[in-house]
Amino acid sequence: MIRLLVICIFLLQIKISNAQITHVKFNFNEASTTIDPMIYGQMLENVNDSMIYGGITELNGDVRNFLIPKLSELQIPVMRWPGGTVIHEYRWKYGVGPRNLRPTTETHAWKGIENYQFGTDEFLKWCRKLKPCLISI
Amino acid sequence: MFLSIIDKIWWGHKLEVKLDGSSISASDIHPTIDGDALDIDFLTNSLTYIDAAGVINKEKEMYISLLNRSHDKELDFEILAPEGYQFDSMWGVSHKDINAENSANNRFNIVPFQKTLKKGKAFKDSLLPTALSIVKLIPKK
Repeated sequence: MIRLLVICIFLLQIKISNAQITHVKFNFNEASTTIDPMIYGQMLENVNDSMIYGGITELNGDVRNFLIPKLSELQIPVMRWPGGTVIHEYRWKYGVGPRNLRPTTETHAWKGIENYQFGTDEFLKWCRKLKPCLISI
Repeated sequence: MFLSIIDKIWWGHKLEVKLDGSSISASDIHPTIDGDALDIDFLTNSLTYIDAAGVINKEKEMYISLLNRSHDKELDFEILAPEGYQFDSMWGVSHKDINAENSANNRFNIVPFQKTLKKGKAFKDSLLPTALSIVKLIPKK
């Protein structure tokens, strides 16, 4: 009886132990899907007023050129800009022309501001430096 | 390192991956990001906390990416090598504090690691909350 109890406890421990481990199995067949490198795109969005301003640019919107070689190494195939939810409120026309004439607007998605100092013009110039880089607006 | 990740690890053919382990019910997941996630349609009833995806590249090397979706649970995993393959190495990035970050004054708070793995049929390890690891397998010589 004791032996049976010990065996049951042992089996229960194995079951509990297995439940906590994630088992990963995989296989390959010749008909498997080819992975398109284009799926490894990146997104550039003015998240929390820090991803662009203070991120890839100085706070005034000037591009941080020292980051260009680092970003080029990533071989980013597609750059999505001006973002995800931000596209609903972003006005590309505000980001062209003389920077001192561009408006500053509140951003509803991030409860911040967008001053368009890194605008449409600057993004296109920046993106051309990251060759090869397609853009998605 | 990153360059080699892109052209060697991510490009190639997709591996079919099967996962069995601790999971969260899809009905318990409540997306909160307007526009991006609220209208998501889960294709399964549950999701394993550890997610995985695999690639085989033109050199016939296999790379299995593992991500712990849990924000508060360190989880164990075990990978079985397919026939004709052996484990080679693992690259990863993790931190005990999921809010940890690198900054201009502290550039090495989060540092990726790489280690050589023992050749064998199975490999066991664990993932800290939100950790990412990439396991490399090579054909047996």
